[in-house]
Amino acid sequence: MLNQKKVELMSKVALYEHGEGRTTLRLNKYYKADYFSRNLLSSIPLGILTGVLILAVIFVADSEWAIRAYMSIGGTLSIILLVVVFAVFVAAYSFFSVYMFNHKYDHYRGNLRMYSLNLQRLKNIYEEEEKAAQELRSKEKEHEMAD
Amino acid sequence: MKWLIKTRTRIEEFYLAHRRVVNYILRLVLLFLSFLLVSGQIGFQPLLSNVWFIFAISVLLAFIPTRFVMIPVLIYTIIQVVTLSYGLGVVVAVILVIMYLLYFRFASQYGFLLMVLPLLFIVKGQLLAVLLLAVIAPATSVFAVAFGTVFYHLLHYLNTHAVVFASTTGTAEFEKAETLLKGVFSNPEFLSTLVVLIVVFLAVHFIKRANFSHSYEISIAIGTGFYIVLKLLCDLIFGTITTERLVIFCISGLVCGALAILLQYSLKALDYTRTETVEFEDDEYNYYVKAVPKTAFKTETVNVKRINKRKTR
Repeated sequence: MLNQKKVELMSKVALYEHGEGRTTLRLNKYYKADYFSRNLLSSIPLGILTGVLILAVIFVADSEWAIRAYMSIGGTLSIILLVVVFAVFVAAYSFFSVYMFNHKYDHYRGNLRMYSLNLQRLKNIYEEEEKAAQELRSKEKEHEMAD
Repeated sequence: MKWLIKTRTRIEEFYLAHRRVVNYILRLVLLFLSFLLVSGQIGFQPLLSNVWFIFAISVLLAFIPTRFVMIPVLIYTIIQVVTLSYGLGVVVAVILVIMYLLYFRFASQYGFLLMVLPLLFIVKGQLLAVLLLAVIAPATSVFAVAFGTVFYHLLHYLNTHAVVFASTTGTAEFEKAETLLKGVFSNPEFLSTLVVLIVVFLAVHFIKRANFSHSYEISIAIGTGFYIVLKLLCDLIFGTITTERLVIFCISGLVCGALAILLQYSLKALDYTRTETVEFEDDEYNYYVKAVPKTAFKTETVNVKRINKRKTR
């Protein structure tokens, strides 16, 4: 006879695995700190790329202003200023990406916990079934021995 | 408002029963309208701008998951702009990549907003998306609002100045790109719209988080008021005020506000009359909990089964 509770749990687990789980189950491989450091490492080069692209757009939009600013501030000072602004931007970008990934991690972690709980319940049901089957088998053996 | 919640429940049940088909149709409609919008604004490539071609690629691309659905529209936009000018194509591609790296990399689930906002701009309904996002989505989705506004104004500027860009043959691509960037980012209309939408978003988002009854509805009403007043102020500052513009702001603002309240109510109906407040404590904290129940009605599926048939003489 079908165990309705088991079918319900199996459906829930399968639905999760085929839906949100396809992206979130990967998170299960990481501790929060590992997940952070991994994303932080990927955010730094991407932050640099974003900064370079933004600078390029600013230069194309108003190249005259950029050249005038460079001339008025002076070569070395303008390069130092640029590097400082760039470093601040990359730091802000990395901070923002950590914040966003933290948010994402916490959000998906809740659903993952529910998924793990359902798996645990399913495991318990299987164990109970196995136990019941073993008991039945041992009783049958006892009957055979008695006969 | 019972009918609204009943309708929502019915839609929800229908959606759950036919989730895959409904999702596919929604993506198809969104893609088709977005491609139409882009081709309507910057349809420089005749084959790509053909309605049947657009429909065919929309049917094919609607199988893509929702989080990646904006990518084909962005590629389509870049191809259309490259047809006009390589320099402009590169600039548009760089702006779109910046948008992706700054926000959509972290929140690809909101990528579709880059398509929805320009569509709403066409019908002057951008406020609707801003109000709903501010109420439902996290504060960081303000970036989606900003980038949707940039994308629409980019398309709009290319549309209105296409003749200039096409006729200036021989002009360096760099100069064309400079004209485009200066034209878009120093346009008072664009700047005022961007500032107003961001201010409205932040105001609505922070008011709705306040701890008082009907904070959602009140925040939307205040946001609508803010929008109309700020738009009026910006027009006065830039000297672009006309009766026609004023009427459009007021009517579109009020309609969007009313629609946002209706939609918000159907998405998250709270019954403030049954609010419960509980106070308890443990070893470390004292808790003050305010619980507002959600309003929900089960659709009536009455099945009358006659056990004894009435005898008729």
